[in-house]
Amino acid sequence: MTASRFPKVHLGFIPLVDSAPFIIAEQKGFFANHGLEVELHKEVSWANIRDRTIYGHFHAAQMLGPMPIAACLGLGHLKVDMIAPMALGLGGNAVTVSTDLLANMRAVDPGLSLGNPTNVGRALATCIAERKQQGGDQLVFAVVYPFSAHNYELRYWLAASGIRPDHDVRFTAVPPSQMVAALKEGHIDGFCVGEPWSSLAGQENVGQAIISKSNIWPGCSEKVLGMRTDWAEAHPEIVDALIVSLDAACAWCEAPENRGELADILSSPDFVGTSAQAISRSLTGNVIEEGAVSEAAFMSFHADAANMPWSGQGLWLYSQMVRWGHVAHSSQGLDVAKSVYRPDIYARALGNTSPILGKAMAQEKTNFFSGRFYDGCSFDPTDVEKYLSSLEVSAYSA
Amino acid sequence: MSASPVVVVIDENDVRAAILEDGLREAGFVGVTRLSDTTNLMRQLVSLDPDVIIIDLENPSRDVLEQMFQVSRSVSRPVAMFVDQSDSEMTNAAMDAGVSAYVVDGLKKERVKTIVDTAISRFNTFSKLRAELEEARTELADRKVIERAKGIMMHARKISEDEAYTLLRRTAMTQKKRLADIAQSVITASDLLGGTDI
Repeated sequence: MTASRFPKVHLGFIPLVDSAPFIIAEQKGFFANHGLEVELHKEVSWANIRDRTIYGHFHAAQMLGPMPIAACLGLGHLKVDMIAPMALGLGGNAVTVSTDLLANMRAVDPGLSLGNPTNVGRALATCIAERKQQGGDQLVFAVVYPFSAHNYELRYWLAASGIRPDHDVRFTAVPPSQMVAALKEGHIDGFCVGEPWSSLAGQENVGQAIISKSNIWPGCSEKVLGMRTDWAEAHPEIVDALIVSLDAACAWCEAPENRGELADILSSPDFVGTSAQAISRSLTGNVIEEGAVSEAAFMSFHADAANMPWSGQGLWLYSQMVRWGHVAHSSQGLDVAKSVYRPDIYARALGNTSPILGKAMAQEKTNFFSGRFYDGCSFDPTDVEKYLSSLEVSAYSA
Repeated sequence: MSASPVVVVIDENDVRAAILEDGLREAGFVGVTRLSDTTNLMRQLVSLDPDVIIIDLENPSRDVLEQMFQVSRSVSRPVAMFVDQSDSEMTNAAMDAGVSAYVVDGLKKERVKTIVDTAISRFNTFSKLRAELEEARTELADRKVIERAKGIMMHARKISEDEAYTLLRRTAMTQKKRLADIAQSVITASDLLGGTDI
């Protein structure tokens, strides 16, 4: 171990399975190996993560993919420039419905195929139409934060299934730790949230995960390393050391032989604090028990260039913000969104000769944007306006 | 705005919430409601229709408010969080105090400032009280430990209470440790050696 070369770095995280890279980098000495002294801070809300990063309590933090974009656009808070120079993984979310709603869906389609978004979406649309006809209450779906990939992928899937978000179903927000209880008490009918909460709902027989994020679009951004742009510019060496150590931690998390130990570490009350059993379920991709998790893994920490923060991923999130009326489209806004995800900094930190980068470049076209959405659609990051105009269900009009 | 604005306080800590409610009433805000149960928070807030919401930063329901105010169409009027570039200093002070505020657009800035200032000062008062209480508790616990250690030493070494105390203090000084920590190690050692406790 080398002695700390830099001033102490404060990092914020939310207790979720995908906070693993931070926790492992600290626990397994990856930060220390790269001359970093890091203090981790467990937070209770994404709003706190944002505020504490803005006001310098944290130098960087685990953030939901859209959060740094929202900060740059001044949505919901001060307009503060932020960047995401690294992604913390891919996948890791699931859409879970209550056991009652699942029973309804099975009633309309006895051959319901969990893990198949087209099939499950059709059954849900039928249930919603029947409910409407019978004058029943609207279904309520919960997410944890407005500017989250959960929110946007859930909306994407509903819209592609012919269900209009905000018209045919209502949205609410519930803190992750209260999701399972809210489902149990019938305050919500379903949710889209990071692990281990879908696994816990399944384990407690309160709900069932019906599709995963990777079923919808395996290339979708999930959590990122977010930080203020001015801090990153003033401390490029610390940023690089953070990226290199987190990348090593992600590789450690990815290795199948480490998954058991990872589940044990995460289950500590200092970190995620739920049973290792529920955490293992998400680490091994068995969140939707009977469903196939398609060709893409349920979650990856490092495989498939999972840590490369493609600017196109940021642009897709921007397109969804516009789509659902969270921001009005402008060419200026588009430019801002384009500059948030920073593959150049990730590449700089790892050294431009890194084999990961060559592989990542090769993956970009195949794995991320073209033809990988479950409904057959593609996203062309070079023509966001055309993409927006092509979306049938949308608050955007050209 | 002439009528007193409706203020909702979301805080699971009974004492702190009471201190804040008092402060707000003293400042002339009569319409204060406190929510301790955050189940179905969005529905509760829609029916209360608050002008200002004060929430503690340890409350995960902050993200529910963000959803409600930024994106959701379930609130009938435009609502914005009390933060624009000029409020930066106050927001920072609020964060240090452990509190955050959400405010309806159009509410007079001075009134908002009074409410947020009250929240900051009452949260700080509470933290100070808690720190003092914690200190008093530690002091009491320390005193008990020292008494017990003195008893053990008096019994084992047949020395007076003053002598036992002097010995403890001298050891603490040479080892650069707290008196109570040395006393605790005497108790532990005595327990391990099966010594009779006095």
